[in-house]
Amino acid sequence: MFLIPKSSLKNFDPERCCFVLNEFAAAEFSSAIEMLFAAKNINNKKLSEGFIRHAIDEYKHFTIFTNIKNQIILEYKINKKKLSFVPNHLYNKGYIYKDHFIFEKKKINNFAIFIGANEEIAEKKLISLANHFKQHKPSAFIKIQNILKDEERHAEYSLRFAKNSNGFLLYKIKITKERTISFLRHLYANSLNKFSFIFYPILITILIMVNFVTYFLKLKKVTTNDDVMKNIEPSSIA
Amino acid sequence: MYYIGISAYYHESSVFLTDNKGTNCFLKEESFTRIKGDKNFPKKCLKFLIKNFDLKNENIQFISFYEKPFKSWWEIFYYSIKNPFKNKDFLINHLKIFNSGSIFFYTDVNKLINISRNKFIYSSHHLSHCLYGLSVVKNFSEYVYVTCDGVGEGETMSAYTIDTEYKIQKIWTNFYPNSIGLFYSAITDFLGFEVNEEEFKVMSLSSFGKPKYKDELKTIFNINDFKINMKYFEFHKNLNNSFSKKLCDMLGEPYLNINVEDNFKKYADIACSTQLILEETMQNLLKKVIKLSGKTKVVLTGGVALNCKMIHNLSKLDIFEELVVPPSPGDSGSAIGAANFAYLNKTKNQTLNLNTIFLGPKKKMINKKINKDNLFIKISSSDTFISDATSKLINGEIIASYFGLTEVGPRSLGNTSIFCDAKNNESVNNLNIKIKKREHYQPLAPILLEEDFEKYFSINKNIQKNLEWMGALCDANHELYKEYSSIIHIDGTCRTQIIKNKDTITYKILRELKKKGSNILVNTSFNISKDPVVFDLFDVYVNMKRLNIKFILMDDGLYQTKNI
Repeated sequence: MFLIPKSSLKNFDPERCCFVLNEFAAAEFSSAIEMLFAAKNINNKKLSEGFIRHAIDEYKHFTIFTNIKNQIILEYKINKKKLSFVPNHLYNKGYIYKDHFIFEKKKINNFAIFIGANEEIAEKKLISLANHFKQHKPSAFIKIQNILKDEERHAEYSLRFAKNSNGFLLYKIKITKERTISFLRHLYANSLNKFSFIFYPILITILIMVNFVTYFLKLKKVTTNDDVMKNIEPSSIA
Repeated sequence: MYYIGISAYYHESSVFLTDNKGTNCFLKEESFTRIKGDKNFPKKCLKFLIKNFDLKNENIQFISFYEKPFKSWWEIFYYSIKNPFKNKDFLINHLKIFNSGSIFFYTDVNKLINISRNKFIYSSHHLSHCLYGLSVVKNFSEYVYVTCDGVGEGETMSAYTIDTEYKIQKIWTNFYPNSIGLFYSAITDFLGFEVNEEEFKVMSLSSFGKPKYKDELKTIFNINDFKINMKYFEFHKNLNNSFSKKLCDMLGEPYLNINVEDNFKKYADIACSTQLILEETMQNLLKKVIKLSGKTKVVLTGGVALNCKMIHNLSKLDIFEELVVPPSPGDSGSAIGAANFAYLNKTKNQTLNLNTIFLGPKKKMINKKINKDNLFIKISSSDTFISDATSKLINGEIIASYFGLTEVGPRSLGNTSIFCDAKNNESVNNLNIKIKKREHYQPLAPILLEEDFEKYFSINKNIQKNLEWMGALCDANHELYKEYSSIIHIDGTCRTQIIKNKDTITYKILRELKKKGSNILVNTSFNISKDPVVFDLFDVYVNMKRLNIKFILMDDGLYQTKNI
């Protein structure tokens, strides 16, 4: 998982739980896509197979989180509309970059460190989520324990590969750097709402200004010929 | 010289390349990114085309975008800016879209490949739909081209005629917000389904209900003058809800859990009423454009045309001589329309000559770098695999397919599908509920040889052409109920596909299956809900593992997945 969602849950709030599970599902789905892309683009049969297995695991986790969420929705009669998983939202939520996959921008050594560092963070977050379910939803707790085992294995493989290919010192520097970046990325993602407080008044001001001049900006329809092809200006965007 | 059409930024992004001499390639961005309905600029599609067709400034005639980018953005903005405070959330989002939207199409393309500015042209949204429709029919001047969708460049419905000299005339238009497409989507939202994605679920659900809310809904969408009552909707100002509190006062609580029986009944009634409003609206629209144009043959495009139940019911009214819905009538297919616009713009009196169903790349081109043997084991060679596969199907096995050219449009038409024997109830249920995890009210689609069609189904001749790409429903005959009842929808209809081409693997499979005692296969797309249809062999492998499907038919044999 890459952009790891918040998972702090003090009291059992089924709706909030579903929200967190949905975010975990989104993170797993995004991770699966990244792994599949890596499998397609690496020129090494063994690593490619490893990425395929990883992708299948992440898709499996996505299904598990979604199933737990759906069970809680049914049990507590929660409005499911706002908790549905929409693949296109992965871009807006920052789980996937709009213009590239992470694998395209990183060398394999650094990609392995990136996976390892993020799987470690995911593990910690998942432990707190699992503990939360331990009391209220024991069946979900068991399922999340299985996911945890997988995540542990993913982190271990990636970091072992990174250690071997980077050398100990370089590995230590890179992993520290990756952990810091992940922390900052997290901080940024969780602060997006606060940023909007700054930009909101600016955008409102633009809207008011545009509103005043709207009448004059109406696109006038000029019809010079009843043949649509002759009437249309192909190079124009308006 | 290549003509490239692109549709992007609003709905699923797609690219179509053609030289009109037999080289065609239709791609969707979702195939590469694995994000279903990916609407971003189709960067990966273009990279694929640049690499495989050696694209450069010199061999590209035109790159054509399917609509006027600024006009499309502005028309919606212009409507909502009239009430800047009420609509502020929507407007702020719309301002943000400006920065990452189609206005920067030229820049986005030039980040990948240097193309001179005079090679960029921009069609018009509904004109692109119309020009895609044009490539589907022969004797094109005999048809009136009707487009009906949510909204495009401020238009919601339009009708065109084209004469033999390729003079195109727009004979009628309806404008935003008066949109039957947005009305249907708002009800889709009300029922708890995903807008622009799950309208088909409303259509399936409608067969379980009665039109109890018909009169109420007629007061909010006028089926005669096609006007919408905006007091009931919020799609112009609210980012989360398409409907207002007033609609809830009329129809009750939204987003109920339809697994509860009472909720299911109620929502089926709402769906049924909505479907009826759509059908009556379209009936009036078609009558109007037929009268205006004097033509009785219709090509219908736009997202609304994907509603095959509507096509089926309209066909029984005897208001047209023929109705054709192309395989990909939504915005994704408009990439083909945009390429046609470019071609017509260049030649002035010719349009593209296309096979309309399979325009995607060959599997060989997609999988150039992949060694099939790393992921799959061949269990049956090219001379016996048809017979082996059909024996497995008869024995209740579920088999995936991955051969030939890729399909255009949202429906898998055999080349990237999952099959099972329609006679075997257990297999059908297994495929629908356990493997595809579809809702119980969604039926599966049958596929059979053209020669067997009349034995099991009946359809009005005026929509028969659409059967090749599952574009219309047909009625189940008595014979079908006897042996294949599991594929019949509750209203007695089926979304059937017929196979004509004797050279295809699908045809050979059906022929062999017939010898072994079954005439119909169930055909569903090779994907999992929320995922796009498989594109390359990696996707095939991962999806087979996820779906727990053992066997796959490819161009040269029957394969099984390896354990890696």
